Amino acid sequence: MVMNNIYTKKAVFTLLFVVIPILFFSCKKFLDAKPSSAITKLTVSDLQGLLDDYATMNTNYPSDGEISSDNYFLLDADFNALSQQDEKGFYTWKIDAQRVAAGSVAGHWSNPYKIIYNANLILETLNMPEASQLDQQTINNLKGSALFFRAYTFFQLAQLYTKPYNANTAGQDLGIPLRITTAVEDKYDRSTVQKTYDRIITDFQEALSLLPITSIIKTRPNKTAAYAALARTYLAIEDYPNAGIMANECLKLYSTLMDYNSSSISKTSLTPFSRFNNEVIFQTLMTPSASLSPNIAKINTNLYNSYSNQDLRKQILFKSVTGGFKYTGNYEPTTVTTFFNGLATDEIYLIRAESYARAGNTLLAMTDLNTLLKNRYTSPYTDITATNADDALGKILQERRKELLFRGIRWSDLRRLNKDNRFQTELSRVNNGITYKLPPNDLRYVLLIPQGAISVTGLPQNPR
Amino acid sequence: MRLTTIILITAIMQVSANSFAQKITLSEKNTSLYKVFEKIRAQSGFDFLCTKSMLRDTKPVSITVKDAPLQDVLKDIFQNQPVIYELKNNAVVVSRKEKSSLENAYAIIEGIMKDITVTGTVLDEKGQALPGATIKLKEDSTKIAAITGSNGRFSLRVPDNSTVLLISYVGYKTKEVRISGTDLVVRMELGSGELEGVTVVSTGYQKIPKERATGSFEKVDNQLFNRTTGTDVISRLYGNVPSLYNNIRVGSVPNGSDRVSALTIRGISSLSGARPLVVLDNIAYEGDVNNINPNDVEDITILKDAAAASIWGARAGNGVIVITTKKGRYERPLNVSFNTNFTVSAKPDLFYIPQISSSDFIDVEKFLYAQKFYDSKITNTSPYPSFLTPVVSILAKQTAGTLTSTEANAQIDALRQYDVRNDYEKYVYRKQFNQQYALSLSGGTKQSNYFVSGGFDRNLNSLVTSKYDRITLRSDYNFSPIKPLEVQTGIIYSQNKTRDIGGNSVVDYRTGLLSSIYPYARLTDDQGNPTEPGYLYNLDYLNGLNNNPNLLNWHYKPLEDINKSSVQGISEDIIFNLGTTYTFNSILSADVKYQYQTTNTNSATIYNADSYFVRDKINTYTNPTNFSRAIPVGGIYLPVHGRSTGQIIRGQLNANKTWNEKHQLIAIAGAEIRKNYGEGNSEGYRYGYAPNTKTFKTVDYLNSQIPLYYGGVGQILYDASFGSSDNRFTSLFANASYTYDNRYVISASARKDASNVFGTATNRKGSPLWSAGASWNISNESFYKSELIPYLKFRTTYGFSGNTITGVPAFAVVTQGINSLTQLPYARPTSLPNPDLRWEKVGMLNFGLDFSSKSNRLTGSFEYYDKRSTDILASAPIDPSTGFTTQKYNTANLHGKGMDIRLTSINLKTTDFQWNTSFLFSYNKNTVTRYLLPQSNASTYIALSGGINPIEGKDAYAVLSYPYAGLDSIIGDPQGYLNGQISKNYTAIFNGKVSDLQFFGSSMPIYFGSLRNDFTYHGFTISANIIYKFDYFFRRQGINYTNLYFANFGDAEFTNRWQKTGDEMYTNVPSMIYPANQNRDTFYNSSAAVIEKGDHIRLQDITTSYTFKKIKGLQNCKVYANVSNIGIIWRANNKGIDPDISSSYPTPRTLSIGLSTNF
Repeated sequence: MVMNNIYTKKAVFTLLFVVIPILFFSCKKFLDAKPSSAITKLTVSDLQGLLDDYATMNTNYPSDGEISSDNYFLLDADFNALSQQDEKGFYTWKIDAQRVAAGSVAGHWSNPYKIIYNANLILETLNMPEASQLDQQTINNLKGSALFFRAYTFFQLAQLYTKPYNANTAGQDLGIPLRITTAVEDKYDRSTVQKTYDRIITDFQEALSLLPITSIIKTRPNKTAAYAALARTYLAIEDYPNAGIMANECLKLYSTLMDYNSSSISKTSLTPFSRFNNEVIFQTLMTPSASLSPNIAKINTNLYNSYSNQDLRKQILFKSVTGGFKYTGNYEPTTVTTFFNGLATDEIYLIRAESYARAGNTLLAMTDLNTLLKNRYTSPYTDITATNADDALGKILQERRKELLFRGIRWSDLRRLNKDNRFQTELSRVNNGITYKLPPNDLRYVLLIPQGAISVTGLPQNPR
Repeated sequence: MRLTTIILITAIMQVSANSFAQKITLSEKNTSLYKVFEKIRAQSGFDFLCTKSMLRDTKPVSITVKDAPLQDVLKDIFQNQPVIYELKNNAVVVSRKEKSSLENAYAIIEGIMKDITVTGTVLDEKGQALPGATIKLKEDSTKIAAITGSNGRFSLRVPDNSTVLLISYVGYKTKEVRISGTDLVVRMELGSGELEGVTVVSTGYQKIPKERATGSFEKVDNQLFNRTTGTDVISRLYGNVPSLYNNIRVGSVPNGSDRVSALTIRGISSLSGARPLVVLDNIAYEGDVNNINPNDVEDITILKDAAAASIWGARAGNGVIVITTKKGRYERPLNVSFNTNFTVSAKPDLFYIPQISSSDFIDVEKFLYAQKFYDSKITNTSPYPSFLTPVVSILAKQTAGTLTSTEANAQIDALRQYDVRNDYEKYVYRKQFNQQYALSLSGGTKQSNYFVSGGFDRNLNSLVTSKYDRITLRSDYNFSPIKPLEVQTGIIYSQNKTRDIGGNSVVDYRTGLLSSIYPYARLTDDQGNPTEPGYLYNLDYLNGLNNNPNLLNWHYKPLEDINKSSVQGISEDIIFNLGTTYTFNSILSADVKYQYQTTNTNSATIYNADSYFVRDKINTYTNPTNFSRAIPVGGIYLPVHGRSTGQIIRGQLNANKTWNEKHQLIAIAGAEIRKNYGEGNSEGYRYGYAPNTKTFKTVDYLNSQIPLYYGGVGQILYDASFGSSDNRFTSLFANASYTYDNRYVISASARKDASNVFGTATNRKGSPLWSAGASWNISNESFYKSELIPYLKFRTTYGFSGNTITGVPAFAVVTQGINSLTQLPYARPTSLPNPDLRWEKVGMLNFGLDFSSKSNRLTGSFEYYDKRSTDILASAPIDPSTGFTTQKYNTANLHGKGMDIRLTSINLKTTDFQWNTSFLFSYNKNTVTRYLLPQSNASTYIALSGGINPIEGKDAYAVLSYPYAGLDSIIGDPQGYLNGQISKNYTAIFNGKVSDLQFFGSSMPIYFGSLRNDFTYHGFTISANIIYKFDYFFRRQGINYTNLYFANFGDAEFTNRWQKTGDEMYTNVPSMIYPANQNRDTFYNSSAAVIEKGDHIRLQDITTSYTFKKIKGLQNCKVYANVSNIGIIWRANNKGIDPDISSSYPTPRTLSIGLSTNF
């Protein structure tokens, strides 16, 4: 009994005074385990994953400009049946049209900035010592892609929330917050329009020098996309020579157009185009909005009537429905309201053509235009001609209008072209018996930043 | 050394009957008292009992009496003596009035010189250790010789082997024990009186008699715990514990799994919805509380203040619920106990939900039709023709000319009589029926004891498709192979099986897919055959497809489909406990405890091959040109698996020392290490499932361009995912309490926790927390001589506990997966990193006063506390250009204060009948004292759902709304105020400041409690519990025209809407306008017009039981019945709204009957 006692005591003591302390001494490592598989210290191997997060990086680009544009109209019944009060405001260009509904800051301001966050996260991680284990090509690709996405998103935001670029006032006009770091503590005020576009162009240029010429999937940027994006940017700031140069460089790398005569493009289908089709250079989609739903959005009658009967787009892009025509030309094969707004060769041909025309090169301008239209009209196609560069420019802009609808481009074009008396448009809508008008260069061409973003940050709102 | 004792016993037996009439004759001058005693004894025959030492200080007596009565003589001679007397039978018992200091010193010296040490264990009537029992020597019962420690052990020195010990404990019969051997085992028996006031509380680390505690504990004993019946443990606490509040309106789902998360103890201490910690048999319980069989529960202790809870450190900030299960007992014969009960609940009262009438709704549809609201729906064919409600299709046919207006009106009017709720009541809901059976066996030998139990529960839920089965098995075996060592082993197994309705079917009214079903829909025809109310597709379109041989039947009859899809789950929970206790000596013991816990959950959503879900999927993925099927015929199956394991090891040293009879020290110290690992995965949808062979068919998940039957392309749903978590904690803890003379207790505890869940900067640092407390048993003071309140105790504590919020990331949270469209792996940050995340800290000051009146007629406690929580994690809005809109920081502070009162009275007590009342009152007010980075838009403070709404200076559950200026008289628009002016600029009002809002109060009651009356007549008891809640507000549903038009749901107050000028005088309900203005609806539903006072009193339940006197072979045979959720007795709102219910139906009334017995 006594012996037993001693043994037991020993056992207990061993347990108490040896095992437990050992457990505690091993605590240092014990407490370093990550608490969840969802909680990860970012590693370099995750960086490509951030870029390939399609839902974050390639979708949900702002569509409020498209809602405000003149590609479509809503029947009173359909307008009245809409529950989205904010969208109704954009549609009728209400003076205080703004995203105020719950959750709209996340959806319409924070979501694009999440793309920028990912880009900044990649750029910051690449500056850390661990990144040195990556090979240079990988680093270049990651860095180039991050810069591309950041610039691409800044551009999209600039089209909605800043004044159209005007070289004389761009140094003072309010730009967007140019967030280039991930830290929450870093405060970013509104930049200027000049700084905004400088940043966009610098980033695109650097991306251009880093990106590979091609990528395995059209959700990833490459050199072609960078040229195309630069062409689009230079066009928006009316730097037509550079827009032309970039478009040209882009088309040198990739210039495929789809022939709408092809039997693979259905004239009856509601989704005639496939995803990542041959014209797509880089895939992005706009955030869905109820008012743009093909089920209710009727094509602007004048616009529809401007297509000739030889123009295959009249059948492929539109379908007759009660009360008008619906749009079926989405480069994303869906019947809902997620519209393709990425980069495609048709747009780049039109940019180059416009650049040539503005430079007075009628011939090259019309060549580009005919190259595109040959693929849009029934064959045999007869080239259209222009009497001079101005005539060519007019024709090019008209085709631009007819080619690039519901692509998130019209709003940007309206802002740009309104500055030129020749191409000004006064937008007008009749809704429930009331006529709404949006005169050229109106302050409402700069949308109000979602109220929630203003409230939290105290950023200056756009003037009204 | 023997204490010299002289007992004077007469040598001569008195034969004659002596009486008080006996006359005494004495004539003494300066005679010693001892001599006088002898003379009186000789004359009267009365014995004198006293010790020699008692008489040491007595004065000589001078007395001359003749034939004086004995009493007068005694009175005379004892006058001015240091001793007093008492007449007992034929004896005069002499005792000392009080001790002189010399006498005390003498006694101490004597004590030191004693040399016999007796140790022992005191057990309660169940054979469990009884801490706090008092041990006195029979020969000197005026002073306490020892008190048992937390393990029931005591140790004292006694004069000799013939010493008799008196062992007492409130509520138990005082036991006389003759010393035999050196290690005694004393089993106490319950006293005949009531047990109130006998409370041993458990902190999970130690057991303390409540009267020796400084902290704030609430005990729900076995009797109270079993007052009501039910499948789960937690709901039996409702209304029985002051300060414990079940926030049904905000948090709890009637059949929800996590009932604990809706509980608050003394209000909230966190803004992140942190829940109280549940402790099961000394170890933090990580599993599903619903898996614990209430029949295995012995009692529950709630730890409320810092001193009580701080031993749980960084997880105790929201209070701790300590569940103690039944245990086996040493030296007990086999005891079998059996309990069963049956519970029936009424069908849910769907008509409680204030829903627009069918007739009104039909009028709304006609109105909307005239406004062309449905035009785009009627003409829409893409991707398929939309579903139209019967009224809209009739109207469309009328417009198309296929129906005359008379026909159309007749058809429409025929629909007005239907209310879909009738069909739901009849076919979708039933009376819930629960069965519960529990059997346990326990017993023990000198060396071992055991407790084995099994329980079975079968619940047929109120939804006809749903049921719940639970099996619990428990085995506890403790043995003591050698005297000082005890080994405890235990296994708990529980398994529950659930069957619930699958997706895409008729489910809970208003919460499922068909929630927006139109009010006049019919689930059956007049003959009771299932019908097709319509859902997604136009019925004419579906009828047109009827004869298409390439398609499966595409019609959806909800009642026919109701059992064709289900979610079936089986969850198994195993807990393995191993512990040893080694008692080194009467002072020191050590425990080591190890627990392994694992939970496996496997559930699957199963869609039968003929279910609508499957038919719809197959048809949708049928190629419209060649009719090939991308989804094979057969069932669809979605398995989901979850597994969690927890391991904990704890070492603890216990010390318990009593010295000099007045000092007692109880201390524990130890360390603990814990690891919880969890993983879950969804295997993804499987197609072509054949339940018999358990086989699947392959489908092409990758192709995102599969042509759909009605046009467009799609991708087959896959939905596979995986996730895991690994939380680790280490803790060091110590706790000590010192009691002096049963009068003063001081206590202190300290604990340090470290974990891996917080920021890298904070994990290692850990969270040191401490508490201290003191209590004063005023009634044990010599100056305290209240007969009215013989027990009075004051206590106070101060200290800190913490909250460990897991799931708030310190690192960047990156979720990973494969994008179905690109087939590329992706990584997605879902929140921003915050390396400075740390524990929330809760400091609490507590004052308590416990008392009981003579014979425990009135017992009770008052407590006041002041609680300050700092470093509270609060979600603060951040610059959305970071890509995120909110971030959690340790920024907020909360200040809570409150009062808990518990009063129990015995109002009437005869031998046959007893009437007790128990009154609980809680006051709790929680104010946000610091909240950084507040949002600035008024609209963000509306908190439509009524949850936590932090605003500096206001209640944590602040209810605010836009001030309401009534309706305008022209079109009946709701009006608010903008800059002090009446306004209808809703957007501007939304963007206003928080100071523009009207503040009502809290959405959690500030005052709440219960009043329970228990009546006992012989074996029969009846008891009723009334629950009250005061001083709070809630937001009721108002009419929302956007919802009415788009979601087919409108509040019944539609009838009272503004319709013409003048109506604004008596109604606040806005007019129906078209088009609907979402902002107008939001404004009205966020305005003061829909705020109601929540105050109400509810008759919660009535329970009754009868215990049979004697049935052969059975003991404690009891039958019982109770009715719960009886109804509201009084409410402040005049709209008939149950303030506990937000958008559902009130908890149905239930009736239970049951039987319990031992044999």
